[in-house]
Amino acid sequence: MMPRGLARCIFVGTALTLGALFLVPLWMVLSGGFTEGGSFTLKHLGAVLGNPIYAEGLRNSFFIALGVTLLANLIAVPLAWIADRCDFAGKKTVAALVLVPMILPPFLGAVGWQQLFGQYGTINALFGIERDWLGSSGIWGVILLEALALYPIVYLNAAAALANLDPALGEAAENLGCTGLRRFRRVTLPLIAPGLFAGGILVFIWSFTELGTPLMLNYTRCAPVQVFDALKEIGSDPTPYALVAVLLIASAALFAAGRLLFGRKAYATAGRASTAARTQRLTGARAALALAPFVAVLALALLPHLAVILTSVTEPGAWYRSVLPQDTTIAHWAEAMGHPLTVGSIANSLLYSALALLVCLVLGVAIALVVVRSDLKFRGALDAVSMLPLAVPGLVMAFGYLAFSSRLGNSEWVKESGMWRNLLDVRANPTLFLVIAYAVRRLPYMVRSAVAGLQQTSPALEEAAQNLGAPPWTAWRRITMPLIAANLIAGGLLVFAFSMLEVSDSLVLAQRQDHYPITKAIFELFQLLGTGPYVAAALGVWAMLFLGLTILAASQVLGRKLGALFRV
Amino acid sequence: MRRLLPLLILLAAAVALPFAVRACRPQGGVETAAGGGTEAVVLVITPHNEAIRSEFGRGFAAWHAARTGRPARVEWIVIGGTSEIGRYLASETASAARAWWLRQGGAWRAGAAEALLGREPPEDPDLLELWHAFRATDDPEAFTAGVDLFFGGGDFDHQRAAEQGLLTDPWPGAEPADLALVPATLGGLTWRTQLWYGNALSTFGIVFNRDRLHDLGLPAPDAWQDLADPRLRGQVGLADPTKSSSITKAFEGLVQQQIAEAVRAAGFAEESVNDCERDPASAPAEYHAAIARGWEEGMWLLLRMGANARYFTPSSQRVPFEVAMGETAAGVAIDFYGRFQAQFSPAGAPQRVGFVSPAGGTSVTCDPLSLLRGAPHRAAALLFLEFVFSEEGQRLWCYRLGEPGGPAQYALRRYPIRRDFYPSREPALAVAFARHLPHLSDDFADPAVGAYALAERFTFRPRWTARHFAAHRDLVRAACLDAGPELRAAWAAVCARGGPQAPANAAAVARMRDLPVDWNSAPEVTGRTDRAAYLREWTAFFRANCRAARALAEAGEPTP
Repeated sequence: MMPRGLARCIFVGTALTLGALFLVPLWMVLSGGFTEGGSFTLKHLGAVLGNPIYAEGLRNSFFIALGVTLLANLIAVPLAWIADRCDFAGKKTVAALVLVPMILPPFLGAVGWQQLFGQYGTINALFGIERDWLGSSGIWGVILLEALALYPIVYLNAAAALANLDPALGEAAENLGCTGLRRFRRVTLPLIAPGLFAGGILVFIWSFTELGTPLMLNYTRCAPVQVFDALKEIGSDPTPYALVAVLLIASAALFAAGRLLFGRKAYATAGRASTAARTQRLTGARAALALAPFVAVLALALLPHLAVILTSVTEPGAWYRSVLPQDTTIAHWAEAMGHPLTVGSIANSLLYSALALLVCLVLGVAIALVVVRSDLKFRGALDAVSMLPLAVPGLVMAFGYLAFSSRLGNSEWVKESGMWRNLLDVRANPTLFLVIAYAVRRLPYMVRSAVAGLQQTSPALEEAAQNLGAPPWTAWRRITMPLIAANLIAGGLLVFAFSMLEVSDSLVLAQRQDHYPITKAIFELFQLLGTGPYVAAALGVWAMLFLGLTILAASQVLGRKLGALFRV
Repeated sequence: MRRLLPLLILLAAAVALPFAVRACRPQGGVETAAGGGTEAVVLVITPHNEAIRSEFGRGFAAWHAARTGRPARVEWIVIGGTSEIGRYLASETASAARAWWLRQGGAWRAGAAEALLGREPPEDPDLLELWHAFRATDDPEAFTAGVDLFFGGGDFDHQRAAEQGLLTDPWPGAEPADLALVPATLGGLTWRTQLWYGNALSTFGIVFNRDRLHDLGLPAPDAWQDLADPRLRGQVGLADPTKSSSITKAFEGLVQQQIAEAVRAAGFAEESVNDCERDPASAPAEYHAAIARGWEEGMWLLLRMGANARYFTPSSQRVPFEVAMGETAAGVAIDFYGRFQAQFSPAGAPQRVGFVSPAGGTSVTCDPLSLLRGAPHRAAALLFLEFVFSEEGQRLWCYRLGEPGGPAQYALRRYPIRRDFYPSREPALAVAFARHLPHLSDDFADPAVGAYALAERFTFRPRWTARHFAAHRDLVRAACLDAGPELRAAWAAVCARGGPQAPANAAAVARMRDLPVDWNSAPEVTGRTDRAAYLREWTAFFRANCRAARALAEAGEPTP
């Protein structure tokens, strides 16, 4: 346990930070759903709750979230388990590639799926059929596509949790006659539960509030699409804000329920990595059998990525009623790479995302420490609030930051000082607010990873170091940090990748070309008449390439540095 | 390290690639004009795309240098579409006005921001004082949203900004001479006021994929009704009228056409319609009944189009792009996207995509430009306004790429607003048009293409639908978006059993086309402040009716 004084300090610090950087801007926008003529009202909330289509939308979203979480776990956990237990030719490659599906750039996923499953797409051309795949897929299509995009989150967390396991426990179980599936169910599963919960809850809330996939499949009766539709309307309707409030309360409640059901029981192990992990070396048919599920999942999940890559080299209109593009060109790449928007946006995105990662790391670990290592009364609330950014629609948060910056930007002291203006007024320079926006919106990944890591690590190790004379900071730095590094790197990868691909804040806060991040550049290129989507695809593929290589390099570094700890 | 090194090299190569390509390519940035002097800057907020921004930025810099001998630069503020811009301008202005009001020792109560931007003066005396003071001040030292001009969007968006007090009259004295070439109204639609000035024109039409239509056994469409054909079920892409005022205007044009037809069918010729509209009180009852009938026909047409719709999208380019891919067979698109896509065909497939402006049902609306209250660079902003209405500015909208005086990097293919870019009987204008014609991207001499010809073929009768703007938007929202799944299910059942014309479906169709309001009551209901309440009632109404219609249709025998 942490000393109470220190815990209180960290609690107050992180709570104030979350309050100022998340709750205040959020309330600046949501208050519109709770006021009328300047006074507080619950009328709009009542109107939302009394409208059956919103109730139905929430029900459908809940069903989608449940389905996606189940399916993502069914895909990811066996893969992580195979990767943890077995060694076979090609494992390193597939284990790294298995993360790539999560780095699909915005706006382009839809183009990719349409090229493949459109009415004049590859699949229909290949089989000579006329099926309307995307138009008839409904809620099941939404669940399938979201699970294929989100399973890497479960995989990363599960892999980190498995890496944290003490192999001696498994061996002990085996010695006592508990083997195979039974051992997995009775020993492994309870021990990796914190990691599974971390991945599961992230996927659950993400898919509960995911907008892009239902929009692409024209599935409109679900809460996030209803919020988006109302938000984008011309005029100042209070309904969407009340609806967002309902969505937030529902997410918080689901998180709390989830934690009560699955997240509480955590077995911290002290003897982790006391023995080297034993992996089974597979060859021949058994290696092929282990490889097969990876290949199958990748073949499905990487389909849109392949389609986007092909789109980026297709002559406009030349991939039409044909299995593959009939005519190719590198002109889109030349246009995208040479465009005045591109170079600056790449540099900007790297800067914003790297800084956001740093902020997330500090804030996330601090919150996780209070949540796991203290017995403060309200630590659960802090945990829940740190998860909420995942459930707030991007546009709402973006307008919250805009209003916040505008309030600051109009104060005399900001107006009169160039430095403060550049820092606090997004009209002058949005860097600070973009970093905050990215960091806050991606904070849940870091918190969940860090919490899972700490839950699996016994405080006894750190206490032992302190007993031996190490000051608390040294004990933390030399003992706990390395032990949870796998989790932090897993969380960090998610934070960095999803910051690079962030849309709403990027579109609204980066108002001038000098400050555009890469997602806004993709959006701008997408809008160009005729070749727009193709040129945007080229820049999107560049982003995928960059993030893919980053993930591969990270897994190599990890593999070398942390050895048995993290085998991604 | 051996495994890591290649990855790091690849990573470095990926990062270096755009820098290398950029270094190799000739730079086409904004030309800085020769001549000294400090650079003039103008801040423009716009939903226009990169192509329009780039051409107008470049064009203004050159024009400004020629005019004043000083360099100039447009700083574009890009935050999304018109709904985001509306929200942004309101919030930024209110926030700045709050600081200004507090500085003067005024009180800022809860609800002050709402009152400040209200169309009507508030009743509370303190808020009234603020409301008047705000509207009497136009000084960036007092307050500013940090933006000079609002460029693009629809007339509805600019009119709304005007009512919020966000706009200011750029030329309180005399307007520049070029504005004489911009009519204030045409075909019953307003193209400019004292506070906002249309500078380009837009129409909506039908973009279609000939291959898809052929597969579905349908001819090329030429009227809005064609989009309601049951064979197009699930194959129509529509723009969302709740998110774009221009598309609501386009749908209004469709309803106007239905009313005109109903009135004609009731025996009222053009002349007698003019008489009736001059003095509606003394028009015969049959005339009013015909209007109401026509309006209901128009709404039924919208409902059937909505039932056929695969989606309603806020993105203007999704429809033409997906039509070109064959993902949808047809859809509603803004003219320049449609015309562009129709001609932008790969070699060997020149006739894949077509675009048509439905004759007599196409309203021609304008894209305005307006000066914002508290503009920080008023002088430069006025010059930008002048530039946009100059011949140099108007040419950018419609000249082919690379023509002298035309766009340098992107062909914009839009309608300029000035009369002298279209055929005319006035000799001076005809001469000017003849001068432009060889350089135009599109043949404005063709009456099916030229915006003025389209506007003249469409007579907008304000009394028929001007008060129904909100009703059209919200009826489409309630029936086609909020109750969309039920509407589409009912329509599927009707289509599976012979379609809406089949006698067996008469009862189901009657339920489907039933409306919660009629032509008379619709504006009254939407005039009520509580929009959420009537939307909820309407959605419940359509849901119940569509479920009943589906049950009625399914009770019949399916037809192959």
